Amino acid sequence: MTTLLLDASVLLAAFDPEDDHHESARTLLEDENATLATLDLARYEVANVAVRAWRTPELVSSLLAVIERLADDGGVVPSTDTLLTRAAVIAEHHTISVYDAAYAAAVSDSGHSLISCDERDLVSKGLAELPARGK
Amino acid sequence: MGHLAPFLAPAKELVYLGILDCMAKVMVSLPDDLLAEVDAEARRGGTTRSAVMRDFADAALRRRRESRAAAMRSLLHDVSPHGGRAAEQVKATRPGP
Repeated sequence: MTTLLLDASVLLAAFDPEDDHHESARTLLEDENATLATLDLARYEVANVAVRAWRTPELVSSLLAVIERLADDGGVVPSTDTLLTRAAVIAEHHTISVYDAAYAAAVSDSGHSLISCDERDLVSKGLAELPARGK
Repeated sequence: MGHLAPFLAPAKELVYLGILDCMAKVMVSLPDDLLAEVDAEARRGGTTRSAVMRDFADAALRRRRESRAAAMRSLLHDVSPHGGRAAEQVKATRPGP
């Protein structure tokens, strides 16, 4: 069974019924047949969106609780020097941010699959699949 | 697989060959008392040490996934709209250059 590594956009979409990927993101998080993981960077990103964009700091604890449940499942991958060095190469090659590339780097040697709602920088470049495809 | 041939009927051997084709062989270190329990379980179930360990690992991972899925159902029980475009929101709230 392949482990699916979810980026912050998937976790956030599951909390937002107005997101185009809400249902598929939610279905993925509630799937008993998939092993799910994420990157430690997601903690900062979901908290940042809840506070700065959604203006709902009270949601931070629930979003972080989701990540802790992933930690108990497929795990939270740490952003080590090795991972970020690999991310820098991917970022340069695909002209994307090191933030986005860090998620791609986290799956590059692991055999995991990256799931993201980021069609522009990750899905369109073949670095990730949409939540609906992760099923 | 040749060494298994005397123990398997032809049809059964084909099934085992198919199963073993997609399995890695690994070396696992276990304390003696745990290995004794695994072996006792294998004898009780009329199966192999490998099958017992495979079943235990599969059951433990399944329980972990089920536990995560149940927790997610609870955490996502009552969500409210935030305007969508999660991927763009993530990028917009990252530190600028």
